[in-house]
Amino acid sequence: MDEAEVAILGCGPAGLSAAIFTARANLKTVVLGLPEKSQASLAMHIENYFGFPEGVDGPDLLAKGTTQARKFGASFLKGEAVTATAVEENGKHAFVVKTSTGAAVHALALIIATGVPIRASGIANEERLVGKGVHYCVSCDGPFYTNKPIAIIGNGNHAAEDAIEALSYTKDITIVANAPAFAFSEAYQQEVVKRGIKIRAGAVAAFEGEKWFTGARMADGELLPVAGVFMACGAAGALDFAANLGLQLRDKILVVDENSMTSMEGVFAAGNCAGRCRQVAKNVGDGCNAAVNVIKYLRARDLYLDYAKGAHAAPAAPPAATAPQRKIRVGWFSFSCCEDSTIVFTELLNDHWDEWKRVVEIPYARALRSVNDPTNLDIAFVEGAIASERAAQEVREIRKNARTLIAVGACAVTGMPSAQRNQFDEPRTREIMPILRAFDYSKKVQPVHEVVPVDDQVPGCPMTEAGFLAVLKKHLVEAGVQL
Amino acid sequence: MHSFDITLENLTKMEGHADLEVRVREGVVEGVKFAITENQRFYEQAVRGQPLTSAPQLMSRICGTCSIAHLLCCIEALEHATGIQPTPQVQLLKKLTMYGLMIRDHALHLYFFALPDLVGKDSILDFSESDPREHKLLHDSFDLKRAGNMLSTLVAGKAVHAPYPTVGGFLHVPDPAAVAKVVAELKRVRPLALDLIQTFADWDQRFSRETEYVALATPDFSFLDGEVITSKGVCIPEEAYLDHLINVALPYSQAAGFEFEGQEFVVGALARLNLNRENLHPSTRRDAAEALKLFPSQNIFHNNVAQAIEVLHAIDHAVELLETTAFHPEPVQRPVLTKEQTGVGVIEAPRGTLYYRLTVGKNGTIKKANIVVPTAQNQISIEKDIAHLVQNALETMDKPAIEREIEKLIRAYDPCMSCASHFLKVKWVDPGR
Repeated sequence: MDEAEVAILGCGPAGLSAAIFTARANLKTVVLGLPEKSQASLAMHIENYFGFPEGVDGPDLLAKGTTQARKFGASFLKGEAVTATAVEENGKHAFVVKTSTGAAVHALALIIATGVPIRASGIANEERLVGKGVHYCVSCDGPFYTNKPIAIIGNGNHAAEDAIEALSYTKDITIVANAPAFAFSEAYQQEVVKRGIKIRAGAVAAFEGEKWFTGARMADGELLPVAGVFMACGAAGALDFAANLGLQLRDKILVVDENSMTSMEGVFAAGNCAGRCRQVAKNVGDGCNAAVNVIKYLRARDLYLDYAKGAHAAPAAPPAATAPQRKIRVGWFSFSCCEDSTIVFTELLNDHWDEWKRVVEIPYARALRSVNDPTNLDIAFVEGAIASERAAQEVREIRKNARTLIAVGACAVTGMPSAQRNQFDEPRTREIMPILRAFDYSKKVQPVHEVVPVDDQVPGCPMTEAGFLAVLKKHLVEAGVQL
Repeated sequence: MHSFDITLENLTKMEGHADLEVRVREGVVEGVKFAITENQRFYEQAVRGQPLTSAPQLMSRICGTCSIAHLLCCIEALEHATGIQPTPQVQLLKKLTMYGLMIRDHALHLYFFALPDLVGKDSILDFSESDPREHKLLHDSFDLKRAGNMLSTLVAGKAVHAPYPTVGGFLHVPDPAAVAKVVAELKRVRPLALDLIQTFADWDQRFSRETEYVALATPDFSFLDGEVITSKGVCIPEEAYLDHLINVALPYSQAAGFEFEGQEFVVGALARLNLNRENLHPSTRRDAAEALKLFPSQNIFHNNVAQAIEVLHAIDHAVELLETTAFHPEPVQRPVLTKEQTGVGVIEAPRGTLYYRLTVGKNGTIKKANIVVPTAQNQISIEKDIAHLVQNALETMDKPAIEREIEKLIRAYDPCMSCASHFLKVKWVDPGR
């Protein structure tokens, strides 16, 4: 296995720009990719890139960038990166990247600069059935198909790699090329045959099923009665790594902060896969920003070389790769209550944030965020009782958007004490009636389970810390996440 | 609107959700409505008929974040009603309880709600672990909040809905071994509080408007006892405070607003520092001397600096009290009632002056409750500040920028629904430009 401090996935303008900076800073830099797959290599003549008044051909620009990066010590592995896996070493992140040639690179930080996938599958109903039988991450969703027939859609090494990984869950695997023929490397071809994985050439016309996927209809009319499919079309792109590593995506673009860091510590992104305009100039700048922040990141983590001595700190020997973990999307919602469980939750962050941040993201928590995303939640924690029809509608929406809904705190679980007005005598009810009418309160205050199905609960006023931790752990384990 | 016949004065006060409506017509701000939209839970009605000994725990459920303030204010009102004079040790334990609250509550507001505005991030959870400064601030927040929790747990049993304080005393006294641990932790995090003061003192964010400040001036800045004083020099006994407040019904909001002698006013840490900073702990005055030069101030963003200074004071005074006190078990005094009695409790909650007026019947149950919370007292001032801010910004900022500035301003007040203001939605009735 190759050792690197920085592995750069992709060798277009963003990846090469990053490599120039990290290599020049004496970071051991390995670049993985196929230059001919870069979109810039398809540009016959670039006229709007700074410093080239006569214009420059895309392949020439990439060749010069490669030469420049090599000059500072960057090494290049020709081959597509097919998987990236996070591993923990002494409480710190590291990564193992495997390539289509069978090589592996161990690195302390990653820069994803793989661009955006150019090729769509072209299979009807793919988007509609995503998450309902159509998947992109074997590590994440493979367990749902234990001992069930599945298909891997794709004709390249990426598809072979996914199929081999899926053997952990089922032996009934067919790689469907969605193309006239397969394009495995010799090594993968042998692995596929040796492991008894079936292959089926030809195009897929459509995925069938109304609410759920029921099968893959081939262009020749045959129906493949598989229980689910995993998309592995073409080269591994940014989205595949996102699924591997559990990175946050927005509109199929990697979400990065101003330091170019993705939602996972140590993983940075640059270029088209990180969004904004698809221009060489911008992507070169992206690569620079990612590289500069990788350098800062490794320094801050005390993983980096001693600059004064100019020598690299030898990376620790990599342990066996642990299973990649997708981050679980958690939402926190409050209704009629004193929000004491919210306070307990914010206090639990004091001691558990370092542990949770590896496996959990919190896209919805109004106490913590201005920009909130309530969709596609794995777990919704709901605090408070339901005191109006408006609140009832809101919690029904939450239910639709969350795989698991957990009521937290006494008001959510029992209604009390928020529901104390349900027991008011006549004079007190009369007294509060103008408020109830003016602001459209419900006649009765209800615990959450009377409005929507609840999967679990954490009682207590406020919720007990031990109870919350136990329930969280239980549901993370069920989702395949290890704390 | 003024014919609306609901009196909100006797109904409960909420923290939670809020909306804002700003009306601009032809370049002029015509109206601002800062509406608390959280459904009420009617504690003032619910507590009627409850035994006085169980009332404090019930009332502490009004608010999760400043639960301890409601607990202690309710206890104080009931002790005044029943003639109980707390022992010196009980009074000292109450002060320590307030200090635990102040450290944890202010740290939550400063780091989790206000700091992202300063740093320019959406959330403290988005702070970059690769940026040394952001990494430090994130972990400082955890350490300071944890220290406040430790103090609350030591003295009051828990940080939220504390079980030990009760009418007539405390059900438990601190264990000496645990005291030593908490003192060590408070000393460890003290430098973080100094950093926090500096962080907010260096923030060049301003909004000033002439207004009146009101606070309970406690002789040792312990938030519990004293007289209510104002920036105009008015001095009022605790029990007479309500006489100076005028309830203003806000039909669009599920909570009332208040004026002080007919004028909007401000309560909270900024008011306390403006009016009572000379009573801060000597170590605090020494080490925060530079930041204290900012006061008196009318810049509402200095409320953040004031809160950070109060965190330091809470640490300094708590350490002194813990190191110089030998705690001993003592019985809880039992209330004796021979007739219906009314008692008033006034304390300084994290966000400002908190008022309880409770009437207890001869049978020991609550007959009547009237509560005024800090956010209701700041409500009208918040609205007027927003109107000024928007009017002044119309020529220089676009709407998204103005909205961001409004949210920063509201968060600087730290209203009890500060989490709600974090996701405030501004409804532009008419941009008028």
